[in-house]
Amino acid sequence: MNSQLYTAASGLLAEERRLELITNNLANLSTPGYRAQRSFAAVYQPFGPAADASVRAANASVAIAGAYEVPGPGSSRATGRDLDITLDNDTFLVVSTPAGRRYTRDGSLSVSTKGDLIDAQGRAVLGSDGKPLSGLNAGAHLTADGRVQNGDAEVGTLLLVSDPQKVLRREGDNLLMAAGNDAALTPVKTPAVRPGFLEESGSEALGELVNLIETQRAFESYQKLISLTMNEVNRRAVNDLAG
Amino acid sequence: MQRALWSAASGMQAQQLQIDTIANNLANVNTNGFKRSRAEFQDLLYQTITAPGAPSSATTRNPAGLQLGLGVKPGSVKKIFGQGDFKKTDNPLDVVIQGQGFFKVLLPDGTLSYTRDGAFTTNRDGQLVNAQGYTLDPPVTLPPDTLSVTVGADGTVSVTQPGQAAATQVGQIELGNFVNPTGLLSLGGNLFQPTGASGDAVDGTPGLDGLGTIGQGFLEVSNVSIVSELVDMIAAQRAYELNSRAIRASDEMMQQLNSLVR
Repeated sequence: MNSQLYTAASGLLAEERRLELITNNLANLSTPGYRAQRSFAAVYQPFGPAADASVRAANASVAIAGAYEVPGPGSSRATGRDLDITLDNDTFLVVSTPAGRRYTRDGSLSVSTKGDLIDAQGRAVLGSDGKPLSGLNAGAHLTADGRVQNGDAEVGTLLLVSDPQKVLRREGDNLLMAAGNDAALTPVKTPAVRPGFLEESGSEALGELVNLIETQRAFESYQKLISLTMNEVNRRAVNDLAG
Repeated sequence: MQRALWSAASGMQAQQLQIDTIANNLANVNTNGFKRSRAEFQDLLYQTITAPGAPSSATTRNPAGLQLGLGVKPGSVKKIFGQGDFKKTDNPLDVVIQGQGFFKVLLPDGTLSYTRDGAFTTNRDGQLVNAQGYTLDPPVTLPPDTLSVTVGADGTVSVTQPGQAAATQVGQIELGNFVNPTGLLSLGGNLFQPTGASGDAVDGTPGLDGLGTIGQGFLEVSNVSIVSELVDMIAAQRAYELNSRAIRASDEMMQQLNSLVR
């Protein structure tokens, strides 16, 4: 008889999960290349005869089925640093880690003491031949078509990939991984980067705040529903019918 | 909801670091040879509830997964070695580097450190020293009867002396450069020290091998842009506020849950 309790409780859980996604977006308001996540919900209904459709609809539960990425790009800002780059939308740099290839949109690059091009955490950035870009000196810079040069001397070209099959998942540290599906990523034929700019976070304060308020109010409504059910309906059932 | 609380708390800590960095940049807006810093952040680990691309039936796949992020962490605070503006001082011992490179000064412990601050003076022995009294390396000594000093674009230091028509060369300013100047360790006092990340210094003559040339009678002021620092500060402050708002929201939601049970 108390199925509405479960409906309301499922709503509480769904809003809680939504809150977790929103706070992560807010925490990453300053993370370069970050993409905000939005949740989408699904409704689950119990099985039963077709004649009971309205009853089944009333007993439905809701749950967060997944989260999609808000498509970018985030705004980019001029930094005046030769080795900062902004990538075209939906393209990724490839870096080499002990666990295999990883992908990132964080374009804050440097040159290591060995002369390799490295990302913000010192991981080697790969060139179009699949090997780390090395042999760079203090005059290293990048061109708009993704070439790496020492002054005027050519060193190599950045490897940029796109993800048409959406296999990339998040790993933290501004990295994405393909989880064994590295072959599903396709190299970009004509790389395009913007040197001297850095992509800001794709998380946008106003939208997240509105979602936060909405989540909080929805949570409140579910809570009202539960206390109404428990305190009023059940009390009257017990007192009026049994008493 | 614990996740939400900790994510928002990590967001507040990150913005606090951002403000700390901006405050230091602003405090050094008039420091000669100062290079501004930039705080960089990274997202923390993700909890994967549903993997993206996982099969939802024999023939279909989930188009989007559900990965709950756990907040943000500071990755690094990076020095940005862009050129600062030049200020004309007309003091013959004020020099700037137009381009890449660092002046080398000898610390009292015998190690070399590197600086972009070219405000030199002479000590009582006539040696060129920086504001802390550390001598240039290699040392340049001016004779006591010096009438005027000329520093050439290639770093040669020449003096004119009474009774001599031609100038005499008394020293040569050398510059050091690094593959990755971002990896230098800031010592304070406008000085930098090489580290394993910056690589060893490559010494050379100004104007050669990609090193900058020397300009006399100028000082390099800091490369901090007040306007952009202020804009960054506003953004950081608002982001801090928003994260505290998220903490309050999760707190209130937990209160409501508690009030379910009386």
